[in-house]
Amino acid sequence: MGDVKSKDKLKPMKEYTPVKDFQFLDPLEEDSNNGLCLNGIYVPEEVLENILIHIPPKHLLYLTLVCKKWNNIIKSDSFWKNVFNMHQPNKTQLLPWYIYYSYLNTNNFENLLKNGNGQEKFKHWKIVKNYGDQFVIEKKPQGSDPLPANVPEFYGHESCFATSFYECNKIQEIPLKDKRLIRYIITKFHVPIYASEWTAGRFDCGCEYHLKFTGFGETNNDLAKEHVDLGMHDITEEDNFDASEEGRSPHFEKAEKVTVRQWEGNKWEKVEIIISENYPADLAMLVFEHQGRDTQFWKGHYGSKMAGGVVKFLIEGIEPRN
Amino acid sequence: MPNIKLQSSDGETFEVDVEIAKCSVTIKTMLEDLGMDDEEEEVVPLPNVNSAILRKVIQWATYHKDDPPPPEDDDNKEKRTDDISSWDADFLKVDQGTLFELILAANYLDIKGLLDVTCKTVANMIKGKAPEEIRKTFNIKNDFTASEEEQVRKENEWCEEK
Repeated sequence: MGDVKSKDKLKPMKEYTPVKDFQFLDPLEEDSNNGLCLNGIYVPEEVLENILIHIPPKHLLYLTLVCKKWNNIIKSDSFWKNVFNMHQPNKTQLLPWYIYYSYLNTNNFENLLKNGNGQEKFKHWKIVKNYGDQFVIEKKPQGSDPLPANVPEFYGHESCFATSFYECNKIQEIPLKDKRLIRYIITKFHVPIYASEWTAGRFDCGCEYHLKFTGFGETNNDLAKEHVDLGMHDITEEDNFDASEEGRSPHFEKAEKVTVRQWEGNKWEKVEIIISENYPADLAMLVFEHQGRDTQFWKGHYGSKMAGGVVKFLIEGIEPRN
Repeated sequence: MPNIKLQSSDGETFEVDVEIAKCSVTIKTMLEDLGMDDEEEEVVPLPNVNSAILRKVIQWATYHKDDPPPPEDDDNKEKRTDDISSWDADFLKVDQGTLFELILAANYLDIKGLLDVTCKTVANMIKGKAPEEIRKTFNIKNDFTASEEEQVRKENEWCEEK
């Protein structure tokens, strides 16, 4: 066995494994009750599961190295479903263990969008259009209601972005390149994706808000990076091109628009997009894009406000491909 | 209050308040199925539990007799794993063999509260230990071949993600 202790330490991955070449192991063949006899007392498998379920989920995989029996128990779908149910009241159908693992131990099923309220200025955002008097961050929304209370995606922040009298448009890219577990899951399952954001206008001025959510595959990934303007503004001559001609048609694309009339804009509303239809399995990049402007050409920041953006994969509605 | 008699595997008889005995779903079902009357002087045999363990189980059940009933499995709140009361922690300061026998008894007698707290206690012994330490603690053999162990390790590493 050699120096087991030093071997037991988790080493960083040396090389990046392409997800399409990866396969999870089948259960290992066991030859005895080794692993169920704890200091000579035979403990039925269900009881051992009852013990292991109390181990924090992030430590469980480490215990697969104890022996084959523990490996087979811990890497089983039913065991992880119980672990999942212990931490999450949501009900799901029986899924492979690594989906529950991913849910409990990675941020894949949490909000992947950063800095949704402008609490870090414009960090993580790429400003595509900054017309009129440009984007600003309002520490508290000006001329509209304050942000609704107890909304988890505000993370306690009270600030928002505000737009001006011509288009203000920015995007946030969420690359999945290093998220190999979710990319692997996507090759086997269709995983719905959710995007949402809160928007409001000022009480005294009409405005227009757009939310667009796009997904790109591995091959059009770089193009997505280069092409930051996804074209939901008024089309001008230079912007007038056909996406498919450029060879960068997205895996999915959905947009929502909110038009607010004068004297009606002060309330915050939530705009949601759910990608529930199937998309190709090599999804590699998500792009969250929002845009706002006022419709009365008023100097200052009378355009749509936005806050609390969310992008996340949903465990509810996961279905096998094919 | 009516009592019933429980008989351990080694023949010792314990007289217990029926309500306390009924915290064991197994005993409760047995009494209902067999139509055992509370008045009758019948003895419930428990062939899987010896007297030392049965004494502990009765001690635990007596202390917890006024606890609210355990929540349904599908209760809509997250279950805690580190909430062992100090009385239970003291109660479970026993050798490992006794602890496992208590788990098996709680499992057989179907006493959810006792099973939970004993399993949590063992889980706390496992938490934070390296696989080799766990093998030593519980006398488990490392039955991986070198290549199997490497495969498992690789697969685990593959799942690691920021």
